[in-house]
Amino acid sequence: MSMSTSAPAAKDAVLSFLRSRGAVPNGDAQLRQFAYLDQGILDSFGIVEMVTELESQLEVRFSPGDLQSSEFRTVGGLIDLIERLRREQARD
Amino acid sequence: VTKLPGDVLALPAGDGRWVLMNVFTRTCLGVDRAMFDLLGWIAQHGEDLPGPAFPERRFPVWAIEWFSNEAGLLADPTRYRRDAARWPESEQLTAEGAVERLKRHFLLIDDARAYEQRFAPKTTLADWDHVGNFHQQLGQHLMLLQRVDPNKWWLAQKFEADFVRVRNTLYKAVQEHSLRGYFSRRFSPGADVVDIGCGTGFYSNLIAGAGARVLGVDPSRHFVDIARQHAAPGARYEVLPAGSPGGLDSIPTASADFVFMSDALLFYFVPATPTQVADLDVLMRDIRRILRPQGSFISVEPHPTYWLAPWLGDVRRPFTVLTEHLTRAFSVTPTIAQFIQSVTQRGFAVTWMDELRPDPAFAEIDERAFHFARQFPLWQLFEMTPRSSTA
Repeated sequence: MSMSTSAPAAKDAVLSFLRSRGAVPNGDAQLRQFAYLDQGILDSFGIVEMVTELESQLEVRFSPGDLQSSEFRTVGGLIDLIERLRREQARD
Repeated sequence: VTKLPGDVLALPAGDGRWVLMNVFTRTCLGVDRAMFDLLGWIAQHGEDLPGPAFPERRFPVWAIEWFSNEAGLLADPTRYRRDAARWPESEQLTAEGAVERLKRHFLLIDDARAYEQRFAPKTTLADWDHVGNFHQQLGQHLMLLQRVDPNKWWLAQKFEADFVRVRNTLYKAVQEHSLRGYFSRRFSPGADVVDIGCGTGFYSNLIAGAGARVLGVDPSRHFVDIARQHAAPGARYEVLPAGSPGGLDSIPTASADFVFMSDALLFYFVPATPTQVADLDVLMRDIRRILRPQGSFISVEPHPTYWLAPWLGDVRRPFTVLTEHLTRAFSVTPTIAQFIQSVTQRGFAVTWMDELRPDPAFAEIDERAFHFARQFPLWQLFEMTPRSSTA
């Protein structure tokens, strides 16, 4: 898979999705640690929507291991995970 | 302290291989006898790392665990690839690597408290820290890992593509086989039957085939649309939300000789989703109201003990392992006592009970499934009548 130059930044896409679903903290440090999955802002369908929307917008594919990782649970971890996947999957 | 939990079975898989299975977490790993040396060492030395004791040793493991109910609600629920000849290539792990892998499958644990805390409901679809109940596990697997719509999956695992025929699984061999005979004995021509939670109308059509007049109701417009397309003579379908106040008000009082429900009542005991509306008081009041005084309520539900119990042992001489009964963490069905108490407290008397048996011809289709279902019933049937006054 090649990374499109028009794909948005991971941070923008993640924050845009989460902000559309509920309040997220403003401070950068707080934001990175924000455990969005534990905050109840996403129901089951919201989580599935987030995964499919981020995959489609950012041209990445989460593996089962990614979805089960501790990274996936916080905003900062999720952004880092997506950036890593984009680098790895751009090489494939 | 690293230790082997008491929840682990070792099952011979042929070819010198073994399956290690944690029966509570339903996690498995394929190993060979080398692993027993490692486990023996850990049992003896506990917290010490085994690496120095096995400096050059490699421990083969096979990744054989899978969410086997992905193949269907009535598929083998045992969660490992059975045929050792078709296992994937082994991985050759160091002692440290093997310990790490065993911990990942809960075949070794080093924090008993954290391990016990896993046995709780999942808090979100992406909660991997808690084992959760069967429906939570299934939803997580289908929606998040397979990216499959659970409703489409449910139809596909039960029916052939035409939605008219049930796939040749235990649904057909036990449920359809038993109910075809039961319906022809139980429903006399001209009887009025309401099928609550009729889905795509498969059983409503069979009941109509026995000569009854059937009204099938279901909250899903999609399912009712399918039912209407395939309606048998004498069967009609409505979208009605049973279990919600007023949901069945359009069905006249004392209008049915029988109310039938199949694979639907369990959701009144363990909700499938946090937002589900399924109030047993409302449902049972509606059933009492709809039934004529001598009418019967017939319920066919997954067996509370054996449905989803692992299929262990010899193909023709199966056994199973039960990990819970009164306090239910994995199960999504009420116990028989809970069921009977729930209906008797709501004005019904239980008049008959049966446990469904498979069609002998199914032994040719799936021998293991046949022998398991013949010994350990997968559905139970209750007949109930309204008592004249509620106690």
